[in-house]
Amino acid sequence: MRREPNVSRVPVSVRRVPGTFYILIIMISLASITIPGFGTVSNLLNILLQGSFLAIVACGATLAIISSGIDLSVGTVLSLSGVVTGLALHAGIPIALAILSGVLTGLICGIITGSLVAFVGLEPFIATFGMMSMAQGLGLVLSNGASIPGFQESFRWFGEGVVWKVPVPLIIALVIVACIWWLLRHTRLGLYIYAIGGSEEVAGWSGIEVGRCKLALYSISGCLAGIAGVLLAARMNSGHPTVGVGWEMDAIASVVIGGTPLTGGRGGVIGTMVGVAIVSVLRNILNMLRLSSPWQITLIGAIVVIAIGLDILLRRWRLALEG
Amino acid sequence: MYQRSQQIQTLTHNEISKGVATEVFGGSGSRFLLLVGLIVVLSFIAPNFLSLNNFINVFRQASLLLIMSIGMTLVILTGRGGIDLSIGSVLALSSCMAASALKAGLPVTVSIIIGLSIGALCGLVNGALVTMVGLPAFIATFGMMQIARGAVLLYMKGAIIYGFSPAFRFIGAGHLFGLPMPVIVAGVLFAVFTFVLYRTPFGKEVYAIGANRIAAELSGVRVNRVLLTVYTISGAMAACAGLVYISRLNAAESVIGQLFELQAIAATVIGGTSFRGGEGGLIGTIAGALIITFLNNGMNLLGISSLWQLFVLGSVIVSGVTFDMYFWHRSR
Repeated sequence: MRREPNVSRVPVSVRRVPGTFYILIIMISLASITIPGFGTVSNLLNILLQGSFLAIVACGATLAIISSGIDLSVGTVLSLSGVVTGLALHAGIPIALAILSGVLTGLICGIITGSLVAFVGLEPFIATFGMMSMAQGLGLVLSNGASIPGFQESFRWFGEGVVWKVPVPLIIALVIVACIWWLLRHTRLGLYIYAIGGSEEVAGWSGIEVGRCKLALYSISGCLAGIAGVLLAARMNSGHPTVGVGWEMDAIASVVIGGTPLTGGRGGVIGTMVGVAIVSVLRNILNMLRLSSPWQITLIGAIVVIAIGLDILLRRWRLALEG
Repeated sequence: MYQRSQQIQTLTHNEISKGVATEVFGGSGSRFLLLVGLIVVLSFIAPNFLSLNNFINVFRQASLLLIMSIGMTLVILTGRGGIDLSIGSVLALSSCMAASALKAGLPVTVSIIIGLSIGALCGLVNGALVTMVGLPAFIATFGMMQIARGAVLLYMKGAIIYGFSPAFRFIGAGHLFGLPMPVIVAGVLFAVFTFVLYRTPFGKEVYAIGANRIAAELSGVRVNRVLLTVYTISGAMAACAGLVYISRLNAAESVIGQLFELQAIAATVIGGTSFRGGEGGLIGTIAGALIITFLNNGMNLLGISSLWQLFVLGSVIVSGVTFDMYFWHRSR
């Protein structure tokens, strides 16, 4: 018989931090010593700004993964909502309505995937995989395969503006992360999402309306991808149909690096932010080292595998020591 | 204890035999019905669809997808999130290495063996990461996807290797008994792996692991060894598809194979293999591969813009699986 590990000796504050947090600290300290210009305020702000788009998308992915599902459609939904917003702006629709149309596009995609998962009973992988292709295809069709550039100043403020020297996307990302944290920790829906991830059957028996919760969480995920798409379009001053390719992988990698297992039921949005920080810092370091893009692709793959693998091995080792 | 494991063994054995019977005679029937429906509809609306040339063309295109989907089906059958995202990149890496071996003047057979071994090696690494380190397959194969793609980009430095010897060109562009070689390669591989999956202990172990990993382990299945083999097969199949592909194109470059993994997953899933594991099989996968290829072919013949094709592919995956769930598997 293996005893349960006695974790009460470890302080709560340490237990709550995912193991990969230390990897982040080591990465930042090494980089700021060895790479000139990494530790400057402007560069750190730059990392935060670039990370904020991924943070918004990864929040949705966290919800899906905690419920032991997955959302592969966030990247292409992001592109689609950028394209829709761009088209709306070019059609002369007021900015507020154009932004709303972009966010609504994301929400509708989320509702469709949510209904497919919740009421049709498709596996999340298949439903979101289908939505991934459909959103990509629709984005390409609507934009005719080309980017939609050039927006007015007041719209670009959402991507480039600053409030008290803090970039607007960063503020929006912080607000969203706080909301999702609150949703997971202090609302009934959050509790239900953990319960569904733990065991869907038991959740159903306990009277949780599993279908409605799933619909809600995939809708939130789609909506967040829509918001990120609008902000990214404002930042890049163009809506591009393939801008989001690969974002779902970055988002899922961030979630898993942050300590939420793909089997669901555990983890949270704070861990995901550690994951987002690792991915963003890594990209920044690779850029500052002026590594060519093949090296970047290779290293990101290797580091994702090593970070998560180390985390798993360390946990197993600790269990063996204590148990 | 011995008696109990015997019981489990007979139980899983019976369950598996039943599963195979359903798969061959009942389960994949709906896919073939879907396929026949698609062919009938297309032959009415698409010009030049119903010709021998077009069908041979479709089978040639489907054979590449089928070779990759064989590995993907085995991997997905093992369940617990089993998936191989790396096959597109592994295809590019192994076929580019084989191409440069050919260009270096090595004999065709040696080059082919080099390509296949690199693919198998990548698959073996995937399997080791999944079994020994305990990484989720999604993450391990995502890492391999990035690493293999980066490696082939670094190795090729943007160059294109073209113009292979006629002996190597034969496997992609040649004909045997009036049939294109890719179709024959895919057919032989399909026959071999169908036999392996449905008629050998190894195949039953794959199903047993997918159906219930703990029960399989208790009844003496060496789970890790089977998983290692399955991921290695998937890598080798990707390499095999890559060799046929570059032989047909008569050129190899580092960017080939992008998004091939999605096509293979789509073919497998439309073919009725479930991510829950232990359900489905290769018979359905051949229907899935043909459905996707006929659909693309039909859209091309109808002159539908390539921009729409992704949208249609997505809708077909969703509606095909939904249709299947509601009309054939309601009782499940």
